[in-house]
Formats: sequence, C-alpha cells, structure tokens
Amino acid sequence: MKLVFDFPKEVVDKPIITQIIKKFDVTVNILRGKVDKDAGELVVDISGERVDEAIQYLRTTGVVVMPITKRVFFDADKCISCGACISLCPNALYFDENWKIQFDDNKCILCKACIKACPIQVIRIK
Amino acid sequence: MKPKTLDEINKRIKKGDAVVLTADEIIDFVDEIGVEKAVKEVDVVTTGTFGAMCSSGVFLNFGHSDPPIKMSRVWLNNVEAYTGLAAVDAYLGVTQLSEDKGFDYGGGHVIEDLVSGKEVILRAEAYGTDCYPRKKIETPISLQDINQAIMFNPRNAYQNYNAATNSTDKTIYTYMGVLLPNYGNVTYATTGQLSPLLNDPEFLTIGVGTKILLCGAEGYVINEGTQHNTKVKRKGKIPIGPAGTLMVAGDLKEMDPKYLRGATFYRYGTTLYVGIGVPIPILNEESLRNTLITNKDIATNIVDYSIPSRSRPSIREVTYAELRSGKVEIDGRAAPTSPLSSLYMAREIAEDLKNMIEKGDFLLQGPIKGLKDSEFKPLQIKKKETRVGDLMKQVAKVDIGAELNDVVKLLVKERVDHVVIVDKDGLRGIVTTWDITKAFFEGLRRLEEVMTKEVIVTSPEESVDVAARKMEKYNISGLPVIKEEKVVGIITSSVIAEVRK
Repeated sequence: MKLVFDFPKEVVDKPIITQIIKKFDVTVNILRGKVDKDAGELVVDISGERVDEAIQYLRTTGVVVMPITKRVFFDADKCISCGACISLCPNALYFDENWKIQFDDNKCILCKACIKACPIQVIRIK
Repeated sequence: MKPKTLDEINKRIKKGDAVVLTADEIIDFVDEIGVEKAVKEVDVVTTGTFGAMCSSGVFLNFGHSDPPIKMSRVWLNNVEAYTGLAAVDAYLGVTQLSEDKGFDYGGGHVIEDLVSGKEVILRAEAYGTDCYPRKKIETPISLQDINQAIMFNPRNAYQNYNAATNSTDKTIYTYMGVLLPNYGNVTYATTGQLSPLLNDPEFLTIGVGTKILLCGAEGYVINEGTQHNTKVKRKGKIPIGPAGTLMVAGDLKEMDPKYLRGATFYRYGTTLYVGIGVPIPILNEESLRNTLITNKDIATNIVDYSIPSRSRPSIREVTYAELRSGKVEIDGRAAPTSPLSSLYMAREIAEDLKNMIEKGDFLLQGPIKGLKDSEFKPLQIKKKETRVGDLMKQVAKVDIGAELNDVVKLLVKERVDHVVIVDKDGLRGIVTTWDITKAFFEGLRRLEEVMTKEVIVTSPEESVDVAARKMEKYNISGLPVIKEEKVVGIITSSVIAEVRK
C-alpha cells in the first residue's frame, strides 16, 4: 500500500517508523523522504498483516496518513500528450501504444518533477 | 506514367473517390503494393504536427466605441497586445506575459480562452485626439464581439529541429523544457515522419497559397516563415536540424479549441501549441517518394543548451527512431527522451484532414509561388561589446591555509565584499561579507567551514550579460574571473549595475 506520511513539527524528531515496525511487524519501504526541522514527508510502500493497526497508531501520534492517490491529480482530459514530463518521471507517467500519456497513480512517489515540466499544468499535487 | 494534376485530384475529391492516406500509413501501404502502383492509386498524403510554436499570434479588430478611441496601449486579460497600427487594430503575440500572472498566463492562453468561447477583459489607453477623444476603455469581450480575429503566425511547422540536453551539474529551464543535469535527459520537437515539411523536403507541393488545416480551420501558407533556411546540412534530401519554416494565417473564429493550447515552459515563458495539417498531393513518383521517409531516415543534433551562446555545441547526431525509442546514449549512459510535440494529437490532425478530404470537405489548393531559398543569418553586433575583462576589478586573495580572522581583516582593509581563497592550483573557495555575518551568528570559526567551495566563475572573454545572468540565477553578488585556471579578478553585480545605468 502506497502512503504518504506527513510529520508535523512536534513529532518530526521521534522514531515513529521504528516503533510501527517493532510494534506491528510491518514492512516499510521508504520510496522518498524529505525531513527537516519543521516538517517531514515520507512516501512509503507499507505491507504486513497489521497495516491497519499501524496506521491507526500513526494517527494517534499526530502523523497525517494519506494514500498517494489522494495527493496527486492528473487531468487526462486536459493533457495533450506532448511527453515533456516523460523523461523526468521515474515511473508513473508513460506513453500507451497510441502515444497517449497515461498516469499510474500507484507508481507515483510524489517527486513533483513533472509539475515544472508540464506546459499545460495538468498535474497537480495537493 | 503521366503525372497527375491537382485539378484531377480535386475532381476525385469532389466525387468522394480520392484515396487519402496519412504519412504514417503510406509507408506500409507502399511497402505492400510498390511505388509504381501507389503513385497511380494514392491522391493525397496527409501530415500533421502539434507543437509549441512561439512565433504565433492574432490580429484583432475591436470595432469603434462611442465616443471612439485611438488605442495606444491594449491589454487582454492583462496581456499587452501591440497597437502600433490603426486606432482599434492590435496584434497579440503568444509569448507576451500577463502583467499580473507572469509566466502562468500569456498571449497563448488569451487565444485559447477566446477560441473556447470565454470572455476576456479588454482594457485600452489612449492620449486622445480631436477625432478620437476617448482615453480609456475597460470591457469584457468575446471572440464573437471582435470584428476580425485572424491568426497570423510568422514562423510555424519547423522542418526538423535540434534535440536538447544539458552538460552542466545544474538543472536548466529552457524553451526545450526542463533539462536535467549531466545529460540527465534529452528533449526533442517535431513529429518526425509525420511532420509536414519533412514529407516535402524541397517544397515541391508546399508554397505560397497552399491550403492547410490550421488549428482545425482552413488556413493558408502565406510565405516562407521567418528564419526559413534552405542552406543546411542534409542527409539525402532531409535537413539535419532546423531548416524550412512556414508563415501561415487562418480565421481564429473557425478554429477548434482542441487544436490550440496556451502553454507555459517553466521559467522560460508562455507560448501556444498550434495544430497544423498539410496535405501533400501525390502528383508524381518524386512527391510520393518524399512521403516515404521514416524516423530512421531523419537525423538531428543533440545540442548542449547549457552553453548560453548562439553556437551551442552538438553532443552527437541522432535519428528520430532513436529519440522515439525513449532512450538515447550519451557518454555511455542512456538518457531518457521527451518529445515536446504531441504525436498523439498530430496523428488526430492528419486523420481529421484525411477524413475531410475523403468526404469532399477539403479541396487542395496548390501554391501560386514557391518558397524562396534563403539562409538564416546571425545578428552581427557592430558596436564593440563590453566583456567581463573590461569591467573586472582586482580581487582580494588569501591562501587556503589562512585563518578566518585574516579574511575578515582583508575585507575591512580593502573595503570589499568578496575574498577568494586560493592555493597553488588556483581557486578553492570564496567568502563574502554575508558569509562572515552568518558565521558569526552560527558560531563557525574555521575558514574551511565558512567559505563557499562550489564557486560559480566567469572568464575575461565572457559577455557581461551572461555573467549577470549567472549572478541573478544563483542569487550571488560576484564572480571570480578565471583565466588559464588562475584567478585574475572579480566582477560584481554592483559594477554591472553601474555600467547599465
């Protein structure tokens, strides 16, 4: 399951990821992370039997948990399929067999590289 | 075989009998039945492109208000249009930026809004005359309210173009899109084998008067485009890199919003994606053979856009087949590629044009005059230009072994803002008065910790504009001047500002 964890300032220095791994025996694959003293954002792929409990626990610590698919929006109707984004996106944007751009939100890691590249601004990240 | 005439082809189009294929389809078709049969059978090959074309815009006539105004300045949604024409005529160019939204909205977006049926705010100013007393206007208008709205594009449909990459270690933002550091990606334009002017490389059938599909409406080639260049390096007939261009015009009121789109290239500016379809009549074997080119036959240069000079170096030659594969090799590494023109949309345009011709809705109009041969000349600057070497000042230097205190003393003694740190091999770092202030605040005491090690530099021969751009881009106030690996001076933003005054 691809999720985004937003760490507010108050908990940014706490070993919360280690805690959920130990407590709930989940596997956490960090796809991308940005942490500084004011806030942290981790994009993770998390799996295990007790994922739901882990998420519940995370929420009690103040971490905001959200599926990636709720954070990124691709406007397929507006996209002109020029492909300016293609060489910048690690995985999620690709050409189909008709050279139409498709977006697989499950593969997005919120790196935001496409945002600057898109001349039509069809990709938005909340 | 007797060559076909355009009249014969038009007769078949009118009867609904014309055989029309797109420039993609013709390749396999001829592969199957051979050139000789295909010349007899095929009447028209349609081509298409959908790319960012900065040299585009519209002539507008707003009509007269009561009392009337001689508009000396005009804005549409805060994007200024050129008014050095009669009282209520203006030309809105696609790269003109909005005065309040900057890069996010420009002339291209205004044109898209108009064609989409949206109202835009017309604002005008004037100095007032006996015959035109009004001095101000502000009113919403739509495309319907405007008398004439004629798209007039001085340069469209480039016959081939450079591919772009970046050799430096910093991302750059260009009209060829975002270029990642260290040859991190390659971008390219044109739709290759489907592109209009690559299917008629010597302009046998495309000339002044040729009827085309311009943003979904009937349009015409009215001249060779600006920067039209026929004196270029070729592979067979096909130019390697930028060559021919078209000047085109058409009625904005008849255009389809699907086939034009306002766009922004990040930190570069606004433009318009323009959709163009050009029919190529198959008059003889030569005109057919011209349409058989494939992406493998079309080559261009991958050019290093990080060099801010007219003559940017080519990294290597590449074919469109390689570019289309999604990766090209540079320096032994695979760089991912990005097309900037939409092949998907270009195919729709070629397909639309094909359908219109098949249905008898689009008759061919051949050229009344050929496109002139011409050469794209550079602009010679006849006055002597100031170079960095003319403006640089002596620079305060210390050896890498010095103490931070020595640097502070030198800054104060020389009354300067920059001290460069050197060793026997040349530049090692730079310390500014700001760095010292910051070091004081953060409690840093060692020169090594305080100095900036990755120093942006210039050379005595560099243009002052290029040096100034570096300072602006990296938000710094001075550049050490390097000659043969030695620091020979410094140029500062205050010196440049003084000269520019």
